[in-house]
Amino acid sequence: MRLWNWINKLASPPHFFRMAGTLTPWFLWPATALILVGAFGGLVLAPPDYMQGEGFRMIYFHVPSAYLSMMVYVIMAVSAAVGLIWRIKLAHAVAASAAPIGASFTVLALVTGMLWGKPMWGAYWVWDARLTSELVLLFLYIGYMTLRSAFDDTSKADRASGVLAVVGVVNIPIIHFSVVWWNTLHQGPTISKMDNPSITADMLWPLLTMILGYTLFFVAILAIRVRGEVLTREVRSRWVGEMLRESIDDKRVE
Amino acid sequence: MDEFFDMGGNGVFVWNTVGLSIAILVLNLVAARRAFRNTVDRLRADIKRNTDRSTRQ
Repeated sequence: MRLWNWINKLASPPHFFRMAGTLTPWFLWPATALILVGAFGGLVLAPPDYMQGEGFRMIYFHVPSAYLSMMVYVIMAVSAAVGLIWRIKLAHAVAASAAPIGASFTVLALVTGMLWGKPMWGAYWVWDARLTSELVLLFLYIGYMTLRSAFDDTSKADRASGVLAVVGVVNIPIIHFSVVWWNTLHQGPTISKMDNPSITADMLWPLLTMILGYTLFFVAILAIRVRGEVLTREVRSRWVGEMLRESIDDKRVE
Repeated sequence: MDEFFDMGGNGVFVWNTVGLSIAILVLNLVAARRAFRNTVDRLRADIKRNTDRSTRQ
């Protein structure tokens, strides 16, 4: 009962707006610190790989972006499903706000993957199962955003794009398991085998630090975007009107 | 130092990866903040316009 009350309170737009505004710096600054520490650890402290040499250091930027490209899609699909099933407007706002961030991380994962592919495989691009399914993920993000922008009515846009987000989530296990199901040029799982990771501790800690840093960074960016989306959707509600009227003089919205 | 930047002959790939990643992270932050600021300014302008109109009437 207490949990249900908490969820109800969290789904309330004014409460979420204030809470997200307060929490954003608490995610943003630790994220920046973790990314700096992880980058130093990966680029300077980690030993070179016995096969890939110094070039392997690209994983410290490629892997977090690839991981986020998938995680953001899952968050988008779950939010869209919650919005469709329980008609929670805030859930649609989260899904709509997550899409451009997820698309940017997917582009980053693809481009950094190409930069890794050239020295390791001798080609920027191969039609390998992992690369192709990641490219399909980018098309899903673009399709989601395009579909949203095709509607003037927000609730229709929420419903149509929500269905696409939910259907498209089937691509996530395909991306993740593509290196297991098919014989791919892309290397197999490295850190997801937590009982026996194929990477030593002095290479692993900067990678985990970077992944945590990227994740916190995503949460901070998402919070900023959702606040804007909430304002747009709640423009006719009293709390938004009062807050904006009060802020016209001091030029600040906290 | 040159050895560090050369990255065993892979410097161009490694440093482009680092640069692109930083650029995308910074762009994400700037774009999110700008979008939020633009929304607030647009809504504020709407409210001010409506208030001025109702005052004149």
